[in-house]
Amino acid sequence: MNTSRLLPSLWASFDRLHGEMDRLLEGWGSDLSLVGAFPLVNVRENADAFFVEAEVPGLTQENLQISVTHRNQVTLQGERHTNDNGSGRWHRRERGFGRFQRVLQLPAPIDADKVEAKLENGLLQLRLPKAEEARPRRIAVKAAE
Amino acid sequence: MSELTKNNSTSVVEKPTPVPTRRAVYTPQVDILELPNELVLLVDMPGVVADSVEVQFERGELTVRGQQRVQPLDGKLLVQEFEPGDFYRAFLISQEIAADQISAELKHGVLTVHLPKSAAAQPRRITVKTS
Repeated sequence: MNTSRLLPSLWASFDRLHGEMDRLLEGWGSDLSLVGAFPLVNVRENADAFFVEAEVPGLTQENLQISVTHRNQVTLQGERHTNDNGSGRWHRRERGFGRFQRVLQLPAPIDADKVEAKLENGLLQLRLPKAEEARPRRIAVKAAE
Repeated sequence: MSELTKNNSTSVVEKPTPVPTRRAVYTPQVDILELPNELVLLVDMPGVVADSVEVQFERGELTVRGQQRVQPLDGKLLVQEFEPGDFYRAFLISQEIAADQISAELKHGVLTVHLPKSAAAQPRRITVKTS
């Protein structure tokens, strides 16, 4: 049988196809994983703190909870209400409703007591100061006598 | 002396081009609920303030626009799932709407537009008289 000679090239094509698929999926991956994610967030970092920004349209302080666990995890959870009293007919229903939870893992521990949160126009802004040990420390170099 | 009078050969004055906006335009998520006497449109517009919202109704076409105002934050970006942009969405409404009674409000980043049906389109209960 001369399939053995055919096979390597076949496998090579498969491998290439596989690679192409991976590449394609990788490009889409970040977007696909966000389908249905709520809320959407941006995370920033400077030397002293992390900053989280989240789109939470329709939410008020009463239906949004923010908690810090394991020193470097921030959980955003709550409930989006629907104003359906059963008397109407929906033509579109794209805005989600119901309970949601999102856990953000930060790359360094934070000081849970000093977290500041601001909720305005459906936009949540968090300032999460880093724990003392996670901040950069400047070491003074003494001049030799 | 202004620039214009000094150079009197100029008959065409070019207006300064506004800074081109290279902002993203998003399709906001909406709910549309039809009630017996009105249509209610709910539009998610996080980060939008009322004075940047535009609601227009013309010949059965409803257009909503809003500009997201996000304060630029400092620091290095670790995760970015959204970026500041404008919201835009338009619908053709086949119902007869009392255009002069349309109202809109923005609360917690959600725009609510009330589109009352015109009197002719509203359900009317006919009382049946007994003879």
